[in-house]
Amino acid sequence: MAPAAAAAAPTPAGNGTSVSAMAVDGDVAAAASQGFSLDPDTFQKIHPAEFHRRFLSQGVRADGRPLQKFRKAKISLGPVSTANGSAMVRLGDTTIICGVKAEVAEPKPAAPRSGFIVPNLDLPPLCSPNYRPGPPSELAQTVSEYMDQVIKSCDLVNPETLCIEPGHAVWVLYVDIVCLNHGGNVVDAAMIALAAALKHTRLPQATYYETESTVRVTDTFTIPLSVKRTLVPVTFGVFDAAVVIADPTAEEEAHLSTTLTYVLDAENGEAAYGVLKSGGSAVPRDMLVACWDDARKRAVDVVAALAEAEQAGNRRPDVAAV
Amino acid sequence: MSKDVPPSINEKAFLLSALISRQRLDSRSPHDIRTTRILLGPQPGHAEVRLGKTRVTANVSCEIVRPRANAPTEGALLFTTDFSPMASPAFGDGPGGGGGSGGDEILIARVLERALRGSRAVDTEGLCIVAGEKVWQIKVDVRVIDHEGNIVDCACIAAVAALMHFKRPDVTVLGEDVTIHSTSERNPIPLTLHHVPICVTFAFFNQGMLQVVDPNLLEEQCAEGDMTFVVNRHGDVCTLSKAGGVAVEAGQVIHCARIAAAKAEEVTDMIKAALEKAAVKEPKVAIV
Amino acid sequence: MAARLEIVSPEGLRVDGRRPAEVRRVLTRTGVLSQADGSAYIEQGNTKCLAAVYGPREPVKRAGVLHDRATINVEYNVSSFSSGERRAKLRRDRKLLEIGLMIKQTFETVVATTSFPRSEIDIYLQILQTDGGAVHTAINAATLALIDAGIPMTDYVCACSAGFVNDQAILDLNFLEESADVPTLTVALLPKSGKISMLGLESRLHIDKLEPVIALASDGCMQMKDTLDEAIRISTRNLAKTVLH
Repeated sequence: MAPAAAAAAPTPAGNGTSVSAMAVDGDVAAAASQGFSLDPDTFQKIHPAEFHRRFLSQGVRADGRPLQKFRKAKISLGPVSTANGSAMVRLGDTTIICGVKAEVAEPKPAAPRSGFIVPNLDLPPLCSPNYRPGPPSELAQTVSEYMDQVIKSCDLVNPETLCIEPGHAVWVLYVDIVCLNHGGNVVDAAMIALAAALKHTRLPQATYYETESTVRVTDTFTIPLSVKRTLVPVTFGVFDAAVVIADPTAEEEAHLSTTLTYVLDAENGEAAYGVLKSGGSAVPRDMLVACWDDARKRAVDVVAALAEAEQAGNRRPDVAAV
Repeated sequence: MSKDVPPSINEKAFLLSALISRQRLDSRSPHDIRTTRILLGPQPGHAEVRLGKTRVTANVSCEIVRPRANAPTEGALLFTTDFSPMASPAFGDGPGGGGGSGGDEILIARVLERALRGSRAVDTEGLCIVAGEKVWQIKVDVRVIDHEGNIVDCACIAAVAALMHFKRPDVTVLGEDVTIHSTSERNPIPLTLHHVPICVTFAFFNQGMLQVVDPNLLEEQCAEGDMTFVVNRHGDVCTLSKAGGVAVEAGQVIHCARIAAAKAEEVTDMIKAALEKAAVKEPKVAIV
Repeated sequence: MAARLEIVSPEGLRVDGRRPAEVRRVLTRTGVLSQADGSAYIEQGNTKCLAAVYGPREPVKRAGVLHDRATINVEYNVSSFSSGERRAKLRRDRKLLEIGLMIKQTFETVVATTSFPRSEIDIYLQILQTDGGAVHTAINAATLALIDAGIPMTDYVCACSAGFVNDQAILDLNFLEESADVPTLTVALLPKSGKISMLGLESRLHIDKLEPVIALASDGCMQMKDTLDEAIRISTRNLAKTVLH
């Protein structure tokens, strides 16, 4: 995937720091007249920001995508049969698996008919050399918290549909999202996985027995979870406070000056359920608007991918295997 | 966070050459256990075991708790292990876990759990007082006082002896009322053990071709690998654990299993003898 | 308490239609993760395990560094949605730590750690779905991932489980069989010498029955060796094609 480079032999007296420009897919740029040249992998390692800048100045990115192009989201439903609902999302190299487990719990006294949805993102050391065993990283905690807020505020699932017996038993849906490979833009992949897994979730029938104060659950007949809307996340990165790139990869993410995430409603691209921009460089208004327009187009593609996955997934057996 | 100093190359070579000529440095034969002293009491459920110079104490206590939701008629058995820093410079103070001796603590604790809880040695159904409401929770605290090799075997003997020595208060249930009788009112009741699991550890040397039973500290540090059996006198293998280390033949494993069974009988007899001795010393309780 | 379930029917078939000495269908893939130096994915029946290897690389903690060899760290993680009942993730679940340590000690004797002094090799194992035999699937996945990472080893480490029920030994137990109180023995074997590297027995098994169970498990390990070897040869062939073309 590395583009062909114009590799020249190092000049003995060369102490200049100029590096020959990288060739891009057959394009041969003018080589530097003095100084030594490096092959692309070395250049990427020692001067990564400049490496990306070179590509962006030509209107492409290191992996060959145009600035506004998103990676295709590949979604598959039901990879984990022990979960009540599950989905696996691949966004380029980023691979995320999401499993939904339903458990019975007592509702809060203030809201006796409301169930709970508990999302959690896990970035294990498996997914990237940057993570080591230990407490959850900042990114994992922030994204988990953000997902929790978005789900609650946009009323993704009506909590009362999770009621088994008011005041005694409700469903708690634990949505556990595990990143298996961090190739950039975990936020998008995680939220798409969450949306897909929830749509795929089927709850077993639960009956509350007053006399014994217990709930019996049967797997023989399952009911799909009623999800009110489809949330589509769309993330952009901003490089050098000026160049906007869509769906950054892990290598690009390390050098962005800020990121911008829109969480759109699939049915209505005019409405955003969340806009996340935490600090970093300032973004002018027309950039925000331009990104929103691109986000709407992307949302359509993601919805199509979800529909495609559902079509393929419908052939799977209904009942969760024991 | 001081770590134990590993033995020198000379010491290792000396040990190995002695073993090859079937001699252990403390003049035991390869399958001999060190001198075992089991001290019980004075309180019921307290045992101190010395295996050579390794010293481990175990203390058993009981408490009434709610049973677990998925086992309403069973009592609970809890284990805590304390690897006191005074036992060895290798035991740091601070949370265990991770490589080195921290890892060993976890492995030893797990062997104890599997030996006593996993093998259903203690009759937990007999610990039920009121189904679904009240059961006895038996807590075994194992503390390592001195580390001179093979803590796991010593700890297991201590835990088993303590459990066999322990007596819980008698309880009468009348409908919903539960009365716990003090030891002066009614004789306390011993726990029922279905069988007596005994731990026997082997250490391997010389590319796994030599094995010794009950390694002392130096042998443990120089060993290429080790294997722990938990057997009872009926020949049941309750747990078998070989956590990596040098690879051995399947035939060797069976051979070790048979040696372990023989050793288990020896140790069970020792524990029973200690219990009898302790029973003689205990004052009889008069029922008024 | 499990209902009285017939583990092996009178016709000699198990719950999932297998014969007593039959291993489940195995699916392997190597090089599945781009970030890790080596990775592998194994599906054994319905048990799914992902292994990632990072290293040899610079150790994070100065304390654990060995001057003459690499340290191996193994993290064994079970996803909360992997089994029938949700598993709350406890930071220091002793059972998972124990399994991690056993796997670490198993690979320490096989990996050529002396080639990489002062560095560390991290093996991360993630169980995505468990239907019995999670530990031995993880060990097999770790072997493939280490080879995929190009870390030199003296031999494959192949693992399998076996149990004893109704007077016969059965191979590669699934979740139903494991939870029906069938004594289960997990064995890790080094195929070149046929010697046993790791052993783990959970419930009671009489000594006389130990021999046939170990023998059957070892046989299963040799079968796994063929599967692992085949997987490595295929992936190496594909690698050679891309490099040499």
